[in-house]
Amino acid sequence: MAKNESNKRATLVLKDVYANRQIYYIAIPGILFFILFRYVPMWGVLNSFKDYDLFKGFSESRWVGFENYKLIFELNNFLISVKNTFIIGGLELLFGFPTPIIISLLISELGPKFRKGVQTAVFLPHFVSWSIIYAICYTLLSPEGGIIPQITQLLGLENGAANVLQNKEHFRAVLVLTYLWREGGFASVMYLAAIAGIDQEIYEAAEVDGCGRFQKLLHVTLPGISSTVCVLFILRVGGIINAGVEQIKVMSNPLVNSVAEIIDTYVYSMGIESGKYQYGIAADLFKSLTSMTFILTTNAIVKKIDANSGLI
Amino acid sequence: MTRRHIKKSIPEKIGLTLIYIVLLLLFFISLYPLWYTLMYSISDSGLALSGGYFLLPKGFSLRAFKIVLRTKNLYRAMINSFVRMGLGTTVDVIMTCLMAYALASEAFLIRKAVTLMIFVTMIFSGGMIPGYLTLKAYGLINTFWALVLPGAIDPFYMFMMRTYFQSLPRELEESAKIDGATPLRILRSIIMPISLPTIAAISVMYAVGHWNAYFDAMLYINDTSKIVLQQYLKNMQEWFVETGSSEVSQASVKMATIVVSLIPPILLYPYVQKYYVTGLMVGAIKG
Repeated sequence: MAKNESNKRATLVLKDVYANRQIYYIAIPGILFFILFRYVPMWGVLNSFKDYDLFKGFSESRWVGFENYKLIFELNNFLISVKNTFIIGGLELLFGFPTPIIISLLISELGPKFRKGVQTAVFLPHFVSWSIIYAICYTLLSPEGGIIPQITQLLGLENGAANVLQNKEHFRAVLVLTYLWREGGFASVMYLAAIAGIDQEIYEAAEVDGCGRFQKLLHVTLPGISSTVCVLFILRVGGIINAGVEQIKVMSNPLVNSVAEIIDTYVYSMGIESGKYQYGIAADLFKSLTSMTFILTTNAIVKKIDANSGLI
Repeated sequence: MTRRHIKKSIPEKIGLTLIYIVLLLLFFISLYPLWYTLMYSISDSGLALSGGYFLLPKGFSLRAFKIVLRTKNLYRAMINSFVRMGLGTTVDVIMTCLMAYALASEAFLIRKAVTLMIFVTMIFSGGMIPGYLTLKAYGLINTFWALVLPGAIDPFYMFMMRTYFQSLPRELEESAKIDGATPLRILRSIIMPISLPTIAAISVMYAVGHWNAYFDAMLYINDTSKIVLQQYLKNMQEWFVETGSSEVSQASVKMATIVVSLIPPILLYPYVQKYYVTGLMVGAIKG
């Protein structure tokens, strides 16, 4: 009896699928895309568990388990890259997370005319490519005629003979500052959208209660966008380990590698440039898993504080 | 009717002034580097070398641009970038809309599973090297497809599209179905025309993304004739032997190159403001 029923259900489902087969056709390109370009590469991760030999190929190479992973932790360059990743990622998080929030709070206080102008201006740098930012920076910072050295000279600060971009001491600062320039305004638009979603009546009630501008910000606006802030914070912390590889690849040079090499650039030089795939992939996998751990941990912590604000 | 007038106290006024000052500063900081570049590029090269603030050009000369427009490597890189942007954006939008429409359709019975599958790729990926090796296995290294295909669907924009499709009234589809239209026909003739603002929003974002992309081109393209503009810009510092001209300095040519490279993003920018930002504001990206 039961078998008959499940057979009937199966036929019904198949009939429905057949009747709607066009929708399934429509979905095929997308699904194929994700399989071919997202899931197939995941198998490549298995390379990191093998002693990959170009001549033997993937299936014939010897399986070495976690040996490659242990190995990279002994490689000095890898350890340096991990350190740099967290320093640079941490700095960009520390300065780069509050800045858009503050900018959006400030902009929200403006009248509509000025607001459009400022918003347009701060949103624009995001659309300037890193290559261009690098080229502009190089000129602005160049000892011959660049404007920044001229300013620092006026202020009495010392200048090296070389471009700041080649200076180990200051390179990270340049990274963080250019990052803020490019992304500060872009992220602020998201918070502005969240602020726009806050019920106006709450503001009016606050005003009746005697709240000034600053208090309104503190007690109405901030709580109003808190869930957005939490979600974005969780995502940001998860991304800390990425630390902006395109930016660094474009802007760095051998002279600053000791402070600028991050895990991703290490993966590139190990894997793509030197062809030592297994180490590169191992480093990359380490990075992905760490990132996932961060996301899940931060998500759990945020949920403890406020059950509704989690990402997952 | 009495008009309620809330008097602003002094601290309030100071606060507002401070806010204005800070925002004015941000306005200036955001735009100044670009303004500097523009002013430098139209300045007389010799005068420009002496340094300075460049609120206005020093002298006036378009010679740098003349040289830029004659530089063959730059031409090739720009054309490559244009082709990539055009081809890439078209593929992106079509793929994104197809996937989004299927996921928005209730007749698509496996949509929960597919959504989950896509969500997983947002968190976990094979990584840089497996990505490279995969493309190599497909024979796509050094081809345009390597720049177009791997990024064809951005889950963020796809979900944005899906949310929009889900918000459309069902009667639209149903009346078309009664008239005997197939889903593909419905998508093409009815849904897409209505969705133009959102499609415009994701199109400009994809387009700018393609124009500005550097890392994937660096990874997958080795042929000098196939490099894109961003690679040219990055290497510009080292390559500049060909611009030996006594009248125009290297710096001026670099600045002019930057200005020319910024034209497409700047042209697209008002549309970004119009479609993407308003889309964000109206909450088209909830969830």
